[in-house]
Amino acid sequence: MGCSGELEGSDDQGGVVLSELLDNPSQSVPGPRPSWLSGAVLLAGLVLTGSLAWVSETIHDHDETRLLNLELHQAASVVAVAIPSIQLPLSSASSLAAATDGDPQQFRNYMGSFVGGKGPFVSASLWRVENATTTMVALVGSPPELATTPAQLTAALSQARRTPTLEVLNLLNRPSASIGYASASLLPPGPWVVYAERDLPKNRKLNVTTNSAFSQLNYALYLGRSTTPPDLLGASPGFLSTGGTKAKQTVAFGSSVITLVATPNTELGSSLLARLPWIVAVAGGVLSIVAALVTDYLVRRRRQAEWLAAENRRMYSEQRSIAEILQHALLPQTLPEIAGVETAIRYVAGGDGADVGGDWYDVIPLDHDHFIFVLGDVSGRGVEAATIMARLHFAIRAYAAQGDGPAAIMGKLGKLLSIDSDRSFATILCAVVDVAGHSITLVNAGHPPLLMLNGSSGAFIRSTIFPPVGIQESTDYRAEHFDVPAGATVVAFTDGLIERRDETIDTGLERLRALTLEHPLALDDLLTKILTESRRAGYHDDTAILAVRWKR
Amino acid sequence: MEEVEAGEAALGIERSSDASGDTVISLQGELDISSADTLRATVEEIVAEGPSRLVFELTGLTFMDSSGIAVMVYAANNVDTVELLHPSSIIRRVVEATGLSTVLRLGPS
Repeated sequence: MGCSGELEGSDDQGGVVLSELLDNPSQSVPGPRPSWLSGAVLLAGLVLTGSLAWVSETIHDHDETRLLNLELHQAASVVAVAIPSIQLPLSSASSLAAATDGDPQQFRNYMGSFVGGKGPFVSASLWRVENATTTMVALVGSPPELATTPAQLTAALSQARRTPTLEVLNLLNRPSASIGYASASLLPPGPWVVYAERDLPKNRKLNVTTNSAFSQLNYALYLGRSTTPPDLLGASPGFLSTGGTKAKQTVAFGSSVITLVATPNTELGSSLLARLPWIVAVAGGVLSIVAALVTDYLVRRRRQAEWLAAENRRMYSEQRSIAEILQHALLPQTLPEIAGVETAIRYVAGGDGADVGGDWYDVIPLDHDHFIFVLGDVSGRGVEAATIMARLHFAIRAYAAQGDGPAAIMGKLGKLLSIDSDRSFATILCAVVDVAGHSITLVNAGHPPLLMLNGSSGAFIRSTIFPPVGIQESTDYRAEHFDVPAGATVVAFTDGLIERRDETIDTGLERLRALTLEHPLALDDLLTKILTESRRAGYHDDTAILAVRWKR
Repeated sequence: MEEVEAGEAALGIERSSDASGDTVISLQGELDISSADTLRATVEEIVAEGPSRLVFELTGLTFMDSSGIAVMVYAANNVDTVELLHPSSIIRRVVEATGLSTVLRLGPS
């Protein structure tokens, strides 16, 4: 009545693997998605490139500014050098006046060459300045523009007489747009002041020769510190349209100053330096992209390899699980209840994680008093062994159903398996049990012998061992009959339970027999003990155990 | 000598001829599921040559499982005479316990 079935080892695993297969159909091949790593490399490269470009641009700017200032300084010195050409004739004339006591003829003779078409001035005049009165003594050229405002003239001449500095007067907003100069001689001192005026070109455009200090600059000259258009002395043609960096410098010009404003009209420094930021940006950008692409390639390669490894693992586990599923589908989870006997089974998949083997067991009820039990082991492993096992399993059931006994069944199985084509054979113990008759009729085809336990004694049933199924197409299997004492137990098992690499099969059999002798145990406890002790001794192969105990 | 790694164990397969010119396959180590396919390939080559006699020299063979037996039986089924020379007691008992004493002719140890 009582019967129990227990599958150890791969029972749960099989379920898990199956659900994994259903939930996770094969992963797809890694697609063209770029990796975050290559993105990071690209970003880092671009940031670095940007920084370098900025630094070189800053260096360039700094360099340009420095060079501009240098150029401007140079230009300013040219302006400064030009100033004496104005100051010198005037101070010389005032000294002459002092020396000649204001001789008008001497003055006219001297200044004649500086006025009009030959000289810088349009008007030059000699003045006697005493107390608050100013008197013109001599005149060369046009009458002074400043004379139209006598108060200003008097103030300017008085001021000139008090200082050795050239008095510069801004008459740019007058109709003639001129500059007035007043110079007095202090050595020897006297009342004489020379006054001269110079017109500016109407368009206030200055022409600069290409090889002068101004050639690389757009520039403007202003009288005074103000740089507003009314004070403009002159500008190069491109100045007003030029934006960008401007530099300003002032040059002392008598009592006033000349303010020089300049901006470069070309790259002052080397053109390489000017292009450096762009060169850095472009080269850095290209390098960053190349680095990102290389990274991406490497990441893809690694991903591909990982995917392949995972795929291999998946396929392997799938293959193993297919074999496990197949095996589990065939191995009955519970045994049919048979009146008068107790049955129990154990099945453990290979302990070293290798492919499942081809062990199987079966219990086939015939009538109320008879049943067949089968224990088999297909050589080899994996899906092939499992499919062969399935073939034999169903064939035995079919032959049993049509009434064949163990010998007939085994004889017919030889046509279903061939070692030449299947590369496998099967050891099978097939027995028909007469429960009430207390007997077993069995055929052993190359299988480990049946162990019979009676009370505290145990022995292997010495039946003929016929060749396994699959060795020859026809083997003359003959069934042998054995009596079983009341309450006795028979244990069938596959060689995984006893096989060790360093000992003969007899040693393994004897160890198993000894395990069963100590105390009569409940059937389940007996099988648990056998498995536990065998496992302790270490084994690799699949193991199946089937036990039948007579209740009376 | 062909070496087949099988975990920590390995099978050595060496092919030669004996005094009468018949092929001899000498096996060293352990013949199990991990090395049986290699031996089967060797045996298939020899079977294809159609010899009348094949000798397995088993002096160095320490273990043989059912996969190994399958190769031996394949040879015995396809060559007129297959002899297994100098099997250890372990090998001898494996062959006997599998009911193959009549199929595989074991020489003296």
